[in-house]
Amino acid sequence: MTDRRILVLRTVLLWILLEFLAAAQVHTPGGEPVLLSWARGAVSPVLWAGEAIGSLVRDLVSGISDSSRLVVTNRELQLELETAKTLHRIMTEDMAAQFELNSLAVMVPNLTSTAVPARTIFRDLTRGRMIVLVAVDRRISADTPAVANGGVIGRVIRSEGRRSWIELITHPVAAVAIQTPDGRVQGLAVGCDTRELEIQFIPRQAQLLRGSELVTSGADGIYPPGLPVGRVTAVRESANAFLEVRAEPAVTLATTRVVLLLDGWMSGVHSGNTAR
Amino acid sequence: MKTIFLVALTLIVQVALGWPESPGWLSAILLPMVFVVGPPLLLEERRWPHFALALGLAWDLVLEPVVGPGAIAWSAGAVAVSAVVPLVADRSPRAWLAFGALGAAIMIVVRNLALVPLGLAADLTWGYLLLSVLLTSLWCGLVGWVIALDLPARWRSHRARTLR
Repeated sequence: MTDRRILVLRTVLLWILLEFLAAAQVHTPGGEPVLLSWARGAVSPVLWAGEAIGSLVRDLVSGISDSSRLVVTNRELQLELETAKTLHRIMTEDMAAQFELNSLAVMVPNLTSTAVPARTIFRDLTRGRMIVLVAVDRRISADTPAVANGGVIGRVIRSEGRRSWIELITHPVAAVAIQTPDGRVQGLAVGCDTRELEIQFIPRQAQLLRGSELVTSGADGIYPPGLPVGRVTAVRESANAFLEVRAEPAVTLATTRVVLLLDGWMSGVHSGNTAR
Repeated sequence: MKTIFLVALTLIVQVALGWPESPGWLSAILLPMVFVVGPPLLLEERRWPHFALALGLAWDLVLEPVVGPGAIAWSAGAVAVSAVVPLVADRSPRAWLAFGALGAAIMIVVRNLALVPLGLAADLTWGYLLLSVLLTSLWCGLVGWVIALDLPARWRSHRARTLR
């Protein structure tokens, strides 16, 4: 930097100082030194900026706080919504079960006072087992028939507290004495598959067609007569003396919700007989 | 010391020019401008802006309501003149006249600009500016002419002739 530039620079700095000196001597109409008003004018943007930044930070913090509260509220609402949906599903299920129970009551006209409705809580169609929960703490006798909306599903093999274990008619060792509704053809329905029954002891000359309905005959002493068991799906000749007949259960076991345990139906029959 | 005496004398005369009984145009002459124009034209010293600053402070003390704007204005004139003088080879009275006009114009304009932030600036008219510039340049030209006459040398030669 040349001497002349340094000189000019110093002179300019001196001018600035002199202007400040003059401003310190002059007063505004309000009696305040002009220098002080300049200082206030220079500082006020900084103060304004500081105030604005402070306000911004406060708004930001408030916004974040509100957002977090909204997130929490949103989660609570989501939880309540899920709870409501679950309750709705449960109520829908209960309503469907109630409709099923009503249908059951219609299906079994001579319902005894000892019949117990129960909800299905577990089913294993491969093993032919089902667990039901009765509404009252009552011991259910073994071999009590279990019917669902559509027909027979099996018999109780064990009962403990409010829970009862049912052996389904599709179980390989299960057997139900059946007949056609007119009683001309009689046989034994044995479980053979998850979805099928094998109808045994049907004579060759029996007039049994595909689609024929099969009901309980009561000959086994377990199931009351007249309850639907299944419908014939296949009739074939075989090498032995009987026809080879297949049937599908009358009840869709996979969707059964409510079952009716006909506990004490036999005693009702006996007391009826005694009364007669 | 001689310079200080001359400056003081100039300021006293300047005050006298502004006497209420005197014509108004007399106060438009900036007598101290010769101390701004003269040094760059006569000497090589480059510290004259600082001298002009001191001159301006003295001007402020004597003639202005506040101290500061006058110093700024006079030193601005000095800076401008000292920046232009080296570019011109002419040192005749015409140069004094021209640089006096330049210094006066800058001094008046800068003084008003310096007074604006303080709220003390008066309305600067073209008429007053031109009048002040004209009279000040004439004053500087007169001083330059007198210096160019070199009266002491003429006086010495005159004495030498008469004694012979």
